[in-house]
Amino acid sequence: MSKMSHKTWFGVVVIVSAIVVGFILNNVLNEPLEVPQIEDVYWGEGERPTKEDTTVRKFVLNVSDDVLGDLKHRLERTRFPDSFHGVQWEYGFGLDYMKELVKYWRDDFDWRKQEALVNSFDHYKTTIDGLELHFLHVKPKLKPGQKAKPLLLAHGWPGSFFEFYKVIPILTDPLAHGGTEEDFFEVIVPSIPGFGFSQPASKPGLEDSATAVLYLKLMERLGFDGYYVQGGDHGSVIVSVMAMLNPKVVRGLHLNMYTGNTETSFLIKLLVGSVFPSLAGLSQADYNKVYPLWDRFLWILSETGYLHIQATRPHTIGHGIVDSPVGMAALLLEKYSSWTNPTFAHLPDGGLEKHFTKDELLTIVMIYWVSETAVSTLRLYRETISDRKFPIISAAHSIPIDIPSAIADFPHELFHTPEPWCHSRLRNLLQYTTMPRGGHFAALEVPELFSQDIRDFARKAEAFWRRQSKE
Amino acid sequence: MGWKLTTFFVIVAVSIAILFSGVLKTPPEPLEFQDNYWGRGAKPSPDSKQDENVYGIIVNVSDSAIADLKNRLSNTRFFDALEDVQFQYGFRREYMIDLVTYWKTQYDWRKQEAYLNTLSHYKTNIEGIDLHFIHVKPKLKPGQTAKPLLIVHGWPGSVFEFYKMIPMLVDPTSHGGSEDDVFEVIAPSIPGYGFSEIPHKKGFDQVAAAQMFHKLMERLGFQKFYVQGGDWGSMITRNMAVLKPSVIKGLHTNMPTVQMGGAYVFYMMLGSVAPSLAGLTEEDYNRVYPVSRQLLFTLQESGYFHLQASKPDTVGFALNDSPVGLAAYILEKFSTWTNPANRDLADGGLEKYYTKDELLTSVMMYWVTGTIPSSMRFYKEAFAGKALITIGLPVTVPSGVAAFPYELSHVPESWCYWGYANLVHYTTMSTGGHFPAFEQPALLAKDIRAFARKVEALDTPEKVAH
Repeated sequence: MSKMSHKTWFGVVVIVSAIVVGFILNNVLNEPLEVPQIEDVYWGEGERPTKEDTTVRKFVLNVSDDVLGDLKHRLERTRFPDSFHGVQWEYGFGLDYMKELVKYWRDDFDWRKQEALVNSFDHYKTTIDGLELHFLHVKPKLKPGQKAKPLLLAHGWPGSFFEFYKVIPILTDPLAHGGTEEDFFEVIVPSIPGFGFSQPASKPGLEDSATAVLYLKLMERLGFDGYYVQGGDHGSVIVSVMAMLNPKVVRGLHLNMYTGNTETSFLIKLLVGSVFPSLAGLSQADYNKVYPLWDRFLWILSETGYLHIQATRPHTIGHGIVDSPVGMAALLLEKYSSWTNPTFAHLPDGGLEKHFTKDELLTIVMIYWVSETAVSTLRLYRETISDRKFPIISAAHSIPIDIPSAIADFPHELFHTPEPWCHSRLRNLLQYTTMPRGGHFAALEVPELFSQDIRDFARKAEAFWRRQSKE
Repeated sequence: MGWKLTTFFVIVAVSIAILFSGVLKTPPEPLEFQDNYWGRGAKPSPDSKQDENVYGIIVNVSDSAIADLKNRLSNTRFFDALEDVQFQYGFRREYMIDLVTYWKTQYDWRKQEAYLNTLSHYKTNIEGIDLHFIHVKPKLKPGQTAKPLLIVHGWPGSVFEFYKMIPMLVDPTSHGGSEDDVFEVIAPSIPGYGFSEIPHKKGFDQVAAAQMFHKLMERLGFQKFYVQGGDWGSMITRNMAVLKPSVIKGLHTNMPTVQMGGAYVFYMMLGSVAPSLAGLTEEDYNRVYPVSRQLLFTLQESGYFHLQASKPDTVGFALNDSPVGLAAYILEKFSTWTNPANRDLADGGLEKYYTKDELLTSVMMYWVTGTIPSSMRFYKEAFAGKALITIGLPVTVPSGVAAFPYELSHVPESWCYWGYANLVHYTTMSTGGHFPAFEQPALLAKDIRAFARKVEALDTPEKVAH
């Protein structure tokens, strides 16, 4: 035999056995192809009242001086870990940069200025199924004859509505940002329950599919019967479930993180592609992004410690996260480094200031900090893997979607699904863009590329719908 | 969980087992002493005089540190409540509120500190850092000798875990033992834990710790001694036995670390259908199978391990800055690892086994020293160097195992031989979990005595002549 390394052998053995087992089991069990039923749950405290408030109320963020004073007090008495020679970010968030960030946060960060920025778009709250759902609703200024396409942007973890602050002006004011009259969008950005200023659930079980139900209800309440949805991270699962549950109202699905699907045929392609890329439909560029599987597996393993603990024991780290602002900042912002570009781990600032400013990063942390609901965001992972929910999420990954869809493939996104492998599930994939740069937080990092892709997709989708209505 | 996910996790588990089994690797090289230096800056030249004195110290936390702690506790921000959960999501919020109230108003650190100082503490500089240890000499009658015993803690433990057991070992006649059962106990804090200095360089792993403890015992003048350890202590003491077996009289562990190679998978499968053929007793069978229960437990409980083995510094910020954060993180282990059924209890079963004072003092060992971040790095270091590979090297010194029912995983006696070639003692305990010195000190002390007696008997004149 050739001089294949032990690792390769090992990988082959593991993968072949996984495939054989999977294949056997697949022939025994059927793939679920029915859209699953999602129960209506009252997420608030106690029992559902007989009459529920359905009003939509304006919301202005106004953090009390007490909270700010308390935060400053905590920052002043931060106990930093001991220093550790020769290490940048390989062991996690870098200590030296954290000290710099905390100094800025304590002495120079102007929250009231950031708060005004947050309030520069219109915020609202409305009660759905017992929870106060927070959302932005930004309507473009339209002249007579001009129309705007409604668009829901769904964030994930550790994201927030704030991630979209640079794309919102581009989408709602296209003429001032290199677009045309056709490129107007009316943008709705909800906060997942427990994130931003949305109330967290009092009952266990609220994960992406339940959030999708809430978002569908929100859009219905706001009077939209046809709209686009866009999502990354958990947001991509949420909007995919929305499209799965109610294809009649979703005009188009745009994703910047596509985790492929969990069909056996996909897994087989993954394996075959490792040895015979062209048989699996892969280009050389695709091949380099997906393989070697072992290295990718190791990288994912090194990046998913947070996911493992949040999916099993969120309350155990939760106590520290809500009590220590530095602790919260480290947990959230570490991802803005490694998920923007994995090589940034070797930089003293984790590469954070290559694409983001201290103000942006700290505003993101503040949104988690002032709402006091950070732990409920961790629970999102725990709720996802529970027995009750997993079949729904699994279905969301395998049930085909026939409405127009698009993928924006950013080079440093966590997962790369080659285009040929997307069509089995996204059966009406009108657009697949291989982006030249950008990572997981694309809307914040490369807002122009992000917005342009949405515009391009929407035009294609509208053309599709026009053709449909003629037939 | 769907079949696909289950299959994936089974594959991952088997892969990890194979990975550590060394089936695909060449046999590990023997361990050797390295030229380590963990202090700040450059290694001093070999000619420069190093301070090898042993200094007596006492635990004495400043008033300002205690006041700062109280201040933080008073300003604790708790997260939002979730209905109907106990410890299934991790450390329960409502019980933490209860614990914090006690910690703020009734916990008396000075009393605990005095208790800590009832045993003698020392420090000595080895390889550039100050190593802390407890050294308890028994009161001996003329002609009586004590067996030297090094006991090593793990994570999230500390030397405090041994406080109830040490008196039993050094004063056996007051604790159900005979005169011959007297030990002289040395209990170091692993560097980066408790009162030991934190290593200032990368690479301090379980082999480095073993080497350092050898140097400690040599400096204290011991030529032959027993070792005992659980958790990381088990791995460190086994490394000591592999590194320099000539000085290890006997090795006792409550958490054997065994690597059976490809045979492991085979025996696991054989044991599930023909237990006696695989060398299993009925109790062994009940503790090992069903494998799915073990896998599920491992998956549910190893989030901390995964995190600490990859990004320890990230979560270290919160835990070193928030006492409540630290308490939740550490005490969750004292709950789940003492008995998994504790996950369904409102107080995590903690007060069934331990007092609030004991639990909080365990936390204080990490809080007053600021060692939680460094303690967690030990996990990442394990994967960076040779530390895990050494599991493949068998222990040749006389060994003993105390198998407690709620230890994280059970290794049947017949399978222990794969890692401990000279196993002379194995006790299947009927009660107790991962922290037996803390939870069942009398049981563990009794077992250490029984083991040592067997080892001493091996030294009979007939054997020596052979």
